[in-house]
Amino acid sequence: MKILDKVADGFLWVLVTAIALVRKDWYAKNKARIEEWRLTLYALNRSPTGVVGLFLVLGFVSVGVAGPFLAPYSYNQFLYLERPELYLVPPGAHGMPLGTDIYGRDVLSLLIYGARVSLVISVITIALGVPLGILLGLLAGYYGGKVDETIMRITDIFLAFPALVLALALAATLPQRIREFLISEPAFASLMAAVFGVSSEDAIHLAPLISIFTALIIVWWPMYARVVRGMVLVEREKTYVEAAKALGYSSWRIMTRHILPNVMSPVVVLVTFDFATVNLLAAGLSFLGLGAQPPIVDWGSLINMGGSRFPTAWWLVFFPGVAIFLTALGWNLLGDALRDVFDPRVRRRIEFKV
Amino acid sequence: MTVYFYTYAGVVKAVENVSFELYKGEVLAIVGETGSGKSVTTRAITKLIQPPGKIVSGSVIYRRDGEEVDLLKLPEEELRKIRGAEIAYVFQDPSSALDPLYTIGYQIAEAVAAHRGGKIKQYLSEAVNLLRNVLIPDPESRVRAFPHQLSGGMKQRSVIAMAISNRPRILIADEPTTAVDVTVQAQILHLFKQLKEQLGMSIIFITHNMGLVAEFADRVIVMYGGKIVEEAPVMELFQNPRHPYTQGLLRAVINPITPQGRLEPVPGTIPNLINPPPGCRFHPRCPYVIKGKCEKEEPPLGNDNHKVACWLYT
Amino acid sequence: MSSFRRFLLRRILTFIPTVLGVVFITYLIAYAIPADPVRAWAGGEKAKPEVIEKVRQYYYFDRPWYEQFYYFLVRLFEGNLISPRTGNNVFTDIAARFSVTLQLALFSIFFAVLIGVPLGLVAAYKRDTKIDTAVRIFALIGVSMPAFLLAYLLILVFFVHLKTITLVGVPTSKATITGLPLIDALITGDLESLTQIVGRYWLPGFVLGFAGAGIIARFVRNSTVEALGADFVEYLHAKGLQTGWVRRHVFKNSLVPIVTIIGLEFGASLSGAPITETIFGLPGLGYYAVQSIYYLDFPAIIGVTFIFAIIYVVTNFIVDILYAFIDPRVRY
Repeated sequence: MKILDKVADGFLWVLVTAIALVRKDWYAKNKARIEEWRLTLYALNRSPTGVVGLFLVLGFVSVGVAGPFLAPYSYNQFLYLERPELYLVPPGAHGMPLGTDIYGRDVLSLLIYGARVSLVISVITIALGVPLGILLGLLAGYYGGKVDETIMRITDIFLAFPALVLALALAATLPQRIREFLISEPAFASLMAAVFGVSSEDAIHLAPLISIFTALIIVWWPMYARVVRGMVLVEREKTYVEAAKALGYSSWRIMTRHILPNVMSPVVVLVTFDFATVNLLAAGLSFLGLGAQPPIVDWGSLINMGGSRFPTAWWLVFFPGVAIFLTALGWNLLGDALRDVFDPRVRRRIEFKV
Repeated sequence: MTVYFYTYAGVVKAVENVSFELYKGEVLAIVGETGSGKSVTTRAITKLIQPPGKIVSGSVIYRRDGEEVDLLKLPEEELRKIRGAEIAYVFQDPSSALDPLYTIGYQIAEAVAAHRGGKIKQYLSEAVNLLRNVLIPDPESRVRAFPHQLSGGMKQRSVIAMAISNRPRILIADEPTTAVDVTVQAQILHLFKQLKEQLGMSIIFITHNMGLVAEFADRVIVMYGGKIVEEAPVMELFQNPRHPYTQGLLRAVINPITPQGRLEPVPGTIPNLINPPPGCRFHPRCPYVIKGKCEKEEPPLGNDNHKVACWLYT
Repeated sequence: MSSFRRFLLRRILTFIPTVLGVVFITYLIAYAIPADPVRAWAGGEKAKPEVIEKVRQYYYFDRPWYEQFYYFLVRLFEGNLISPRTGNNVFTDIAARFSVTLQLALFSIFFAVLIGVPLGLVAAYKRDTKIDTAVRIFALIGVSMPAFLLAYLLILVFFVHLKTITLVGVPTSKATITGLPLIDALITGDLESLTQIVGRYWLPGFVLGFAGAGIIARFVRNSTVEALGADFVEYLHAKGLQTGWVRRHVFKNSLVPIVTIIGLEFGASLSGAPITETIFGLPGLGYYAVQSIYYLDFPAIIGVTFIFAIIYVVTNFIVDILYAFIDPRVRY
């Protein structure tokens, strides 16, 4: 327990020093906030499941970021061409720790590349979808009236679709358009290639993956709009908002500087859970054949490959499946622990034991 | 009676050796600050204490029809029959006493049916009559209303209707007027007086409002830190408060019987009941503390008409 | 008019614009996104020129967009979308597969509730003990488990090793009353068909309901704990009510969220159907959706998306109505 706390302290120290390089007086002004973060991290350390979740998540993120540089074989090394005996071998055979696929590629390396793909898709989806949803939720909740009505009506319509079905329909219709877009904008295509960890020639094949996260963004923002709007409706009636208005602050300032920080905690918890959900959904889409097309690979498409050859090529199903499971579990454990940490009643109980 | 609460933070000694009597047809007021143990005491009378609370020791002798019975030793089923029928409660916040999903007519009829047997529906007309008794206008339509459709005053009156529905002998009201505004307070007090005349009940009511005490009570018990510190008939208490805490209380609120110059609060805060001060629990705040005595030994309550637990008087 | 009936009316009035919105979004997906909608609707790359021409006329592609949308609506509500892949009317194909998905959803709700509710109740009455934590972790595992992993693992056990299930075919019942073989077999006491049906559907139902079980367990636990600790429960005891009567109050109060969650679970099984049906070889709506998307069969994609959305909207609508029926505070 003490070690974890020291790690938390060290992490905060690094963070503070880094910020101090940019803004000299930030630390002095925000001492209380740093203390609050420190206590939050300590509370998180008290939850064994939370710590496990945190480690799983960190593992996933590190593999995702560093992966393509560290993988033993590149994803487009079709070893089969040189060594025919490497076609679809089970784990352990011929020195392939996790076996190979139908193109003779090393499954371990493919798993590592897959981590990058999952990470990129979930990060982009959340990074674009969540702020959009939050913004609309803020506007709807704060202004109320017609603005609220319209935004909520649109949200309802999107929420009327079961997530997977809407994502399916979008992921099926978008790739063609995106392919054309990638061809016409090679700079963008190279950027995407670098981000996904593939070589530029294969950039065109990224179209289905790009359509997956586009589809997911469209599917995701309504949930946040609705949740944030609900919370803003409650906050709006509180006296500190009235005070801010009386001081003549602009609506925008009240929304972003005053109301938003107060609704952030549940949003953070939701985002953590959503990393898991997005990963599962994206893997599902890939499994159905809408995701990575050869030669690009991600966890879902590996399972697809293994599924049609089940149970002979069981390792193609098992290892990516477990990878998806552990990643999702990590995010879910972390989110669950964070939810407890942010809930004042439960937090007090944690602190009593300390 | 002694009641402790076993919490994460420690053992809260909420009620320590409290003992008193209630006479037929009288109105007994229990006064004290938050945390003095008044609510816990009254709930403990019918064993309404939930974990982590526990009635550690004591007895509640109830005289009924010439017999005496210790409520704390009764089996749960016997106790259930007494609650709501012979001993009824009214709590502070009417919203927390009413189930939001059922109409108030249903809930009143339920209180009756639970003790008289039969279907709840057959008592709905009686519920209408009860609502009329508690002075709710247009009771026929109100009986079908849901709690959230009623104002605070009407909710509290509905709860009172529920409490008197079975003609209880003892009515225990825990700060019944605190959650409503002043005009409604007066109406509810008036209602209590009327009902007492009509039904011949004994009433225990808890308050921190000395004005109510002066208007309504026959006898008063003052509690502090989980113990009784003074007990006297009402006029006697107001004219001649003995315990320093009582004196402090009367100085801090407007006294209708002996008006004073300015209001003074009692200095200090309520004691920590996990580690209560040794000796007399009031001694850290007492302006007349006797050094060497008050912080070592607990004063006994005494035994005459006007009881007081203070070393100044023994 | 009672408050409930007023609520019902209001709810129906908002229901209609939502459905229209769903149609519009579906239309956008069908028309606006593809680069060449006419070709897409005619069957994609392989479409023959005569077919393209027929399609152009059938869906009025030559007219301005508002007329297109109008005729699209006409076709949709007439139920006259033709699939270039199967040559059938899309809605006929859908109708044939509807019962499979519905039965799958029923099995999934059954398992989700059967596992989730008791676990949730146990966790609520034994809160803050090891059992509570265990249920919590179970719920998290259920939510993190990808359906395909669980499905293949169980298939490995039951199909490969034990050979107790099949992955092909759809059992029916001897009589046809409601159109749902499961219900028909139950009503007529047709034990043989019933065994076949259960044998075919139980494993996919379990896989689909597994994640839901975890969510329901967590939810039931939280709402029961809340109901138990509700303020008015103390007063119910003070009134001298029998324990059974008190439990009735507690139960009704925790009913609202439970109904919601079952409704949500139904919607979730719709969402999970495509994957589960594909793995288990069940020719239901989900599988149809996957196939039509794979072959870019646009009319089918639109038809299926529309049907899914409608089912979802109707389910939410029913849940809202039930909600208002139980809890009077919601009616405003």
